[in-house]
Amino acid sequence: MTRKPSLTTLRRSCQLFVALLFIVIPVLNRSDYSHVYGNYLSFHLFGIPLADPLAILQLTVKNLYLTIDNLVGVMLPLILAFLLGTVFCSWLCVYGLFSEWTHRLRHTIIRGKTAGAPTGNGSFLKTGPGERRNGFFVKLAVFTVGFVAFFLFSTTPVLNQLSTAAWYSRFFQYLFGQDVVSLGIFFPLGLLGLEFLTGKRLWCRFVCPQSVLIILVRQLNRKRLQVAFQPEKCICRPGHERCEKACTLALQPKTVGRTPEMECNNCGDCVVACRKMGRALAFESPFTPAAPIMAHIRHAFSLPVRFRRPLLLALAIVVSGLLLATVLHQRPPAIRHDAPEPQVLLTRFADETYVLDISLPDPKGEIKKILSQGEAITTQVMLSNAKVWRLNPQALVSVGKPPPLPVKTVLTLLYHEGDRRTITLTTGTVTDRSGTAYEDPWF
Amino acid sequence: MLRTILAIFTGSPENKFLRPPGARAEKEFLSRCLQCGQCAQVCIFDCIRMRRGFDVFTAGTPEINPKEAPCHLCLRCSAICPSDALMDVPIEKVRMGTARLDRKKCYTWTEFLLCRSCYERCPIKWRAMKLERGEYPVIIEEACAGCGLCEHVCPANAIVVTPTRFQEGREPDSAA
Repeated sequence: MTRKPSLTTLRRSCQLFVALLFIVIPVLNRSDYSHVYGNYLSFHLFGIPLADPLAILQLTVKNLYLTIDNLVGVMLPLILAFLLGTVFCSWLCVYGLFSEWTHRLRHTIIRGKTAGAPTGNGSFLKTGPGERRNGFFVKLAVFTVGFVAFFLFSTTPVLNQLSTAAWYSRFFQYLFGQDVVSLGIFFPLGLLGLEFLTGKRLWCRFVCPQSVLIILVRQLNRKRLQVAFQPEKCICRPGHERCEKACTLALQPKTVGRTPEMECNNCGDCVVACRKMGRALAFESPFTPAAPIMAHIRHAFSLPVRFRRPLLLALAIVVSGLLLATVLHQRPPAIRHDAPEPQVLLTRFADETYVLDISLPDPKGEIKKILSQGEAITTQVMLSNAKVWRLNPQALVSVGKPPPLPVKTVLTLLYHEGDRRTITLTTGTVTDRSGTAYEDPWF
Repeated sequence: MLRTILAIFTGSPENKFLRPPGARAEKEFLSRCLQCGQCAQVCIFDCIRMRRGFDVFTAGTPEINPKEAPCHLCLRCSAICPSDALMDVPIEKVRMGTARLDRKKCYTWTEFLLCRSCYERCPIKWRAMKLERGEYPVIIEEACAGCGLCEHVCPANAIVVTPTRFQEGREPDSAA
């Protein structure tokens, strides 16, 4: 007995993986791991560049200049969109994940109160048959206005600030890279709150300017992967279609194949919902033979049920263990500076002049500054002189009579990395140089 | 005006930061910077920071504050910048800013102490910083990369690095 892994499971895992990736990357980078870095605007994956098409468009328009790195980076997502549709939105975008969760959360809460409220039935933003493609045109209008405003008033790619996914990844860049809690996270959070209140996926459907370009590129390919409907298989009562309830974008999946549906991002929720009914909806593309490939993949993943649970559990444990291990292990090792051994010399010169001489080797140049404090020390700062720090000038501890022993000094070492370390020195031994007179070597 | 109000409102850090080595002239730099933060992530000295605050034109662009962490001129950031906002520049052509030494504060020039901290740390020693009469530090402004190491280590706070974008007539980095 085998069970096919649900498409939803695969998609959720992919989304979660990407969401976690952008949390883990800044932590890894902090510990000098640099094979994967960047955020949603531009990204490097083991040397493969990826970039946000809109960001690159803004740069190119303003500078009439395109680097190879950016060109490759922008081609990869566009080719993906050309072949498979806007799967970026449904499989990779973090905001899409949170938006879907918000949508689901709202509907689990609302369902308790008003049973069976159909989706997409709000008073405004109504999605009737005639208004199906409104969302994209609102989006296009927003995009055009935004782009014209950028072109006229700005030199920086200012539309980047509208990328909710970039704000998500940037939040973790700030948090783990710079130990700063960025308030920018309130932008996507506020939008999610708004979507929760209205019950619509407002940003994804009506605003998100980052998706416009990939939608346009997708439209170029008529034979892309898309949802196809076979009317003879449909067994749902009209008006009670499961596929329409499943669609978080409030579309009518049955019409996707026939009319140019601009908003569908190939998430496959309707296909999964229809599997329980008549299997009238399926992914289909004359260009890419999707169905056999998908069947093959599903076959490869299918396992007897009694193995599936333990295997998945083991896999989850291994993956999370690895993740934890990398994070814990790769953390920058606690800076272990070789404990410097200060040399303290209390010297007695002629006519009972007692001089304290402190020097501290620093061969690697790790120390930024040394503050010294003591009973007889006049200057606070020790100065660097070719890999050795010296109390400078030497401290005259007492003149005319022996000082009360032991003489105590506290050194505070400030390292370049921001560490500080305190050393307390006491000396009770006096070196006798009373044959020579005291002469300050610096003056 | 709007920016000033925003800066007051959000308490964003002050304006006297440096751009990373290899940065183009400020306006061109801003129009090319993707705000992706890869330079900050690749910096092993953690000196490049992504700019904070709610100024939509500069938020997310890289900055270096030499008082907190100076640039060590390893040039990893300019090597990886995907959009060439930071160019590949040889180390002697980097012009992030200019260090200025206030002789009235410097321990050596005021003859308070003999200090060579700045000279010891300068990565372009003897070209960008010399010791006059073997003791007194002098900054050669034409050769100074403006990395800010001397500002970082100066015990008397006598050195301040002025970013290139605030200096009339000073050339920014040119491509190799």
